Amino acid sequence: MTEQVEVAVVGAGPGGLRAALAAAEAGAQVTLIDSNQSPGGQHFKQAAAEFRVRHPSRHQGEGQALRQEAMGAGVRFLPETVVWGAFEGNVLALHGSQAPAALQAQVIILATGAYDRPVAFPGWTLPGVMTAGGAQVLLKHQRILPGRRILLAGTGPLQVVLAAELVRAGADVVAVLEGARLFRESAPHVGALWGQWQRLGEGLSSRLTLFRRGVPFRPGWGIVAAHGADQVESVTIARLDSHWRPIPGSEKTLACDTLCVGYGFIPSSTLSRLLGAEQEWRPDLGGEVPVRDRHMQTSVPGVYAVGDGAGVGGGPLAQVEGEIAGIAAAARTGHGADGAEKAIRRLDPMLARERRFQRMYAALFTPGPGLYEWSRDDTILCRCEEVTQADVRRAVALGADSANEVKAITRCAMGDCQGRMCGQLVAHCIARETGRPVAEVGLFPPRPPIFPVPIVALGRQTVNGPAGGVAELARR
Amino acid sequence: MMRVGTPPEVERGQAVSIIVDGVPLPAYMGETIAGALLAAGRRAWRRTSHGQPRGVFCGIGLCFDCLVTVNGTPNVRACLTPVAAGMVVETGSKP
Amino acid sequence: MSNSRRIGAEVAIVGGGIVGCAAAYYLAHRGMKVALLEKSVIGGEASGRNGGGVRAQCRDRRERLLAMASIKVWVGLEVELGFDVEYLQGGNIRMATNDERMTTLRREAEEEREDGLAVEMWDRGELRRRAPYLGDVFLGAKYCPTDGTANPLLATRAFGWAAKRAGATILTRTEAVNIGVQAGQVTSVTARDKDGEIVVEAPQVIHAGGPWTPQLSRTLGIQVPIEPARSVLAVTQRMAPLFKEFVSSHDLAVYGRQARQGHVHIGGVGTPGQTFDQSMPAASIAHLARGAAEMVPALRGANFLRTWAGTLEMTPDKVPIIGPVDGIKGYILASGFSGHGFCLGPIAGRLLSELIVDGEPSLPLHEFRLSRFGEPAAPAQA
Repeated sequence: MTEQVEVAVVGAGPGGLRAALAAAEAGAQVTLIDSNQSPGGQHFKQAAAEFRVRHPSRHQGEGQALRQEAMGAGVRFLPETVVWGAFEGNVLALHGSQAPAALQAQVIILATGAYDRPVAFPGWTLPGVMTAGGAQVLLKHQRILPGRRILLAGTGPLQVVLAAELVRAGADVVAVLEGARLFRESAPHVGALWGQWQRLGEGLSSRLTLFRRGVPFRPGWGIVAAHGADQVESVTIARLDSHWRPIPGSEKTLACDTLCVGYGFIPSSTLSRLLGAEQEWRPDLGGEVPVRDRHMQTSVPGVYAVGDGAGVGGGPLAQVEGEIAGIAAAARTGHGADGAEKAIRRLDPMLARERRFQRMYAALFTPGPGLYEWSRDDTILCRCEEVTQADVRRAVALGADSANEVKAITRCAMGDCQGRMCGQLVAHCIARETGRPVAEVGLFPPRPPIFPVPIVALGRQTVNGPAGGVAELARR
Repeated sequence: MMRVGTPPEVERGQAVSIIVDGVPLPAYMGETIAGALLAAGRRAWRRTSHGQPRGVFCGIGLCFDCLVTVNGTPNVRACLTPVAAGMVVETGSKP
Repeated sequence: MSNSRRIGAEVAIVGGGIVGCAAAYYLAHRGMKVALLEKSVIGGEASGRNGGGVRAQCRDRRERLLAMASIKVWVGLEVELGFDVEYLQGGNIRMATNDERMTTLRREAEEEREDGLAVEMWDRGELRRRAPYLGDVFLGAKYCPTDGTANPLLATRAFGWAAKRAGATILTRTEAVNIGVQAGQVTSVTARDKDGEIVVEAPQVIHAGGPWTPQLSRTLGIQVPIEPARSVLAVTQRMAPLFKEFVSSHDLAVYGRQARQGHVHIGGVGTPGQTFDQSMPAASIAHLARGAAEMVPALRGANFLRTWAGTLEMTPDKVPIIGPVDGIKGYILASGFSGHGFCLGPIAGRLLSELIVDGEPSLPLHEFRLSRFGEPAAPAQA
């Protein structure tokens, strides 16, 4: 059944929770949707509900408070609900045991977050190679370590924080490789740290932990290859040049059983693309993101996008953007329209501060173009369909000039992850082969369902289906 | 093993047993199938159609590398699916 | 536009679907100078967005001989094109859920046997025995063992690559906008790409533009009765081998096949009319899901992974328009395949090459002429 709602918020991380709270406080009727059991997203990831943890982290505490506030303001939460499609008229198609088949919302706020950027290097499909985000969730949610001897490779302060958490939990962290060469690049950005006391505190205490335990932190280093028969046994690393290309002769091989890879994030912008929102290619924000106005509204009227899913910027920025969109969304549905503009302006300084931080982060930690050259011809780019770089190059040689064409010929992105893992890898490979900018090559066009959905569920919702019956399917 | 924290710092959910490829595996309520497998030291549990081993990669339900069959239902993401007492998990290669 | 380039060719082909690409391949193979113009990419429309069925059964009688001949081409296509297009002669089952449908199928079987096509009628028991994966809803079926399937994404492209190797000029992202005629004789095709205008000077034009054909033929003053219609498809995640036949039911308005890698493709038999819209309506996804579960109950435990739509080109009698057009020398239509173009493409391409090179195709095409619709072509604008 299609249910009518005023405001639908997709994703209950910091941006979505804050948007839902702001809209609800202004008087709007808000439905918050998330695929997880409880709100919080990856940023506020809580320990499993069945666990009791005496000292939750600061983020977990903050997340708990925000979630209680949002629920207290009357936000209705749909847990374990996947939004698998978006259709004309702001209709979201849902799959979840407690969810209606579809929601038609006056306003949709997308707060879909981001995921770790997959990086293809020889051996990256070996068990034991995992994303930094995945390792962090295991630790935060289940208090389980992904391995014993762990090498971290990536960029940005988050992996330093993760390394410290792993060390504190008893893991042997072999080293932390930072792709950027920080000392040369950070000087002009010091000002953006003003006001970021929590982040600085967390960063410093993490670095201190690593220093005390003698964990090497290596700026300007990256991965050459992971080795092992059925799982990672060692990793060859190398010094990187300023474009992030390994410098021949600088290689070293480290023994480890786990490699955590964290080269920034890719915004989950599939839904905004499916809704027809105009996108732009912004490597500094993680990839393709929806174009937005100052109220966080996309080019589609009534569709807003906030947080990492609209451009990677971290939890605090997501919260400011969420609050702005929440106020604007409520105003659009006739709640608190009078004070809305004033309330949004009041957030300007906070927004400016977080945007400064975002710019600094992007300037320091956006991977160089060499990152996409770590793969070799026999390296798999599409993990699902096991399509190699050579396969993609062959398709380009046959005349394929877009991601979609390469997909048709090689099957890349036709697997279960629907191109989330290989999308940017394939786009960069085509761009390199054809000498064109990545923005021009483009990503795979999203097609519903954007997650695999049981046929039975799709068929059941047919009865009262989101867009009427099937009369249009005239029989020949 | 690789579980971290002991009472009173960390109290896990109730201890249960799941059946993985016919063999009982200890787990705690609140853990995912992937968590329980990793905690038992299992890193790889699927073979691709090309025969390559796979385990957890993204860990957040997006990459579909960790697929298992649960109580007869194929294509279940081990990294998202919480364990339950007596749950029957089959790993191994996909068709 | 100042930037106008000129290309000389013996045959210009408009449309890079399977019909145009097959024609380009066979013509180039026989030494003709060919230039093919495609508005987007090779095989990017209906030729690459269909269910992948290659069948001779359940055809209009006129089309049956073409389909039977085309299947002979399909069987040898991998060798001929030097590319594995995943062709599988796995048989075709057309099911019935009611007696009326069974009667129609039986009548059709008689006609098919008369025309030399071996088909079998299956009653309920035989259907259970031969295709136990099909749902209880079916009373029986007609089966044709020589029918099969192929990969739509690869077959058309393989023709395009082979044509290129044989010397054809293939211009993609190049949209034909006008066909030039002088004194009742075709002289050129004008097209546009991102750099400007291209004029292909050729005395013969094969117009294989699918649903976009009427628009361009209008520049000749010719009305071609083709209407667009949306086809809808969905695919499951990889599954263990379940069936090798192409299965379909008009009663449920759904068809399916399992591709080589294990994904099951489910398509809609019926389509909403008169639209170029290729977005996927929620109702269509629901319809395909219901149809899939009813047709092949084992799919109830499966997930849909992806859906897509395509644009079919429907003629009033659902039979293609192939052949020269009265009044305009050198203008040959090959459009309106009405959802049957994927199967018929290879033979259509071959016959078109024979028509041009030998002056006479090895199978008669007169029943497919535009004039059957009784609309005499208007004289061309000079």
